[in-house]
Amino acid sequence: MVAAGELQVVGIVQEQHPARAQLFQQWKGLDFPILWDPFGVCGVEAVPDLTAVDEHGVVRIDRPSPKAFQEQFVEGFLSRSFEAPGEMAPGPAPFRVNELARLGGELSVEQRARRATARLMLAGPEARTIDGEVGAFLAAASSGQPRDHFRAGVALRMRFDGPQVRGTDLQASIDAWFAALMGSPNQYIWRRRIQQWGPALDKPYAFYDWVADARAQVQERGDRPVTLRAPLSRAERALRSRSVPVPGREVVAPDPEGRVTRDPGKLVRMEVGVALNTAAAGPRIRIPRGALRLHVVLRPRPGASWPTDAAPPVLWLDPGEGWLLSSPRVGFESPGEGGERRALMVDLELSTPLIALGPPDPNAPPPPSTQTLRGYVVYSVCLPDGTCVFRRQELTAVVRYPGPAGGEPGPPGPPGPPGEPGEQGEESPGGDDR
Amino acid sequence: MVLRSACSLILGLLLTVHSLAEEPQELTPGSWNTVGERIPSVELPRIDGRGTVDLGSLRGRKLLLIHFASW
Repeated sequence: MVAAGELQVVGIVQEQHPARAQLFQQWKGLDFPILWDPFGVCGVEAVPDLTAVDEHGVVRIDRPSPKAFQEQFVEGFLSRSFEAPGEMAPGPAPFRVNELARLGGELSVEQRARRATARLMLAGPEARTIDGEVGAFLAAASSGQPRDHFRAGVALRMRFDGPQVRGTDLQASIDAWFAALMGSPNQYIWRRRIQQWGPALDKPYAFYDWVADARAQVQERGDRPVTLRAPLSRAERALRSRSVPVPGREVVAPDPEGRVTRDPGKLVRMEVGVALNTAAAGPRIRIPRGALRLHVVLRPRPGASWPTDAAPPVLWLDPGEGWLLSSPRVGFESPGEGGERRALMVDLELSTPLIALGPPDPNAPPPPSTQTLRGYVVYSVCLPDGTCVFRRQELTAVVRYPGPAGGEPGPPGPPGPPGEPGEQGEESPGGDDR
Repeated sequence: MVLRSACSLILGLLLTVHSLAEEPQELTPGSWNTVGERIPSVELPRIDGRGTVDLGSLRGRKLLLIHFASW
């Protein structure tokens, strides 16, 4: 029917990074257009969702049952014609990205957020100029509406993936999504956005474990796989797990006596993000609060660079009592040839010990609202004059649990005011080359 | 001259009112799956960067709309 021009198929994905869906499309040979809706303009709460629309634009079947597919879908939809409907109540007003992106004049906070939505959808996931749009979303999010928090999180993550990244974007995006989920816990698109970077213990399935197979098979066919500019984190490739991390063999700390010269962040900027188990978005979460994923990003400051002939950076985490992790020592990937200035990322899973099932103890003391994880990273880094040095930078990650203990949930803190000060102007060894 | 200015003002006001009336409202989950309702007119970019598609313009042929994710 598609070939005969009687049926058209259109896909819509809500993913943060459209290139991943594009690689999937290439891999599976999907020949229908796929549209990108990262901000959730369509308002869909869960996927997959299949809707059959007649030739007049009227919905005829939603989520056809696989058991009644022949009767419901083939005979009841594909094989018959529908009459044009009579007068219908007006539906939602149009949402057209090209029109909205050109909105001008005096705009309300909401209108600015809509324009920012349209502009970023047209610019793509790694928009080069995004500060104004992020500010528009943060202003809208100050209203406290869950949808606005979600959109602010999407924009902050886009900035994290682009050239205007700020040191707080990683955590701020996760916090914004958490604030959204707290207000709308049945919104599974929003929940998945956190779980994508969250702990394996909280994953409903692996998110992007198929990417390596897809690339290999596309190459075998003689095609060039779609490039994924935003690198895949370990968390995104991790398989779903129902076990807490098991400590492996004992490993040696890279700087047990603290003798390595410190870099207070002048050569390399460290960005830290904590993605909690989304169960923490519920009001009844117990102590201890379960697994989390710690993300650490290292970016050479302007003028600094990674040596390509030295061992890559190493993260050492000393989270303290009560945390389980498979190893406190995690190596970053090598920057590789041509990657001297790129951001290096690593993430690892931590979990509190398993807790016995049963109702919470009403006499137990209230759990802490924050916990602090400590560690450090050691790395070789080169200065603008070509000299390379070995440095250590301390790591502090604050785990913020949403909501007052045992009380009503609240968002884990605002993602930051509009126009928050950037870090581009910070002291750097070789001037600002951005 | 005065008449022309007044006409321009009225036209401007009408356009403003029209644009306010057309301000997009939030789409809700029900916008897409309420049997018997028209799907909303939504223009979204293609993931391959090859322009945009306005779903409201796809009338004349049956449409199978698939919301999905590659994960």
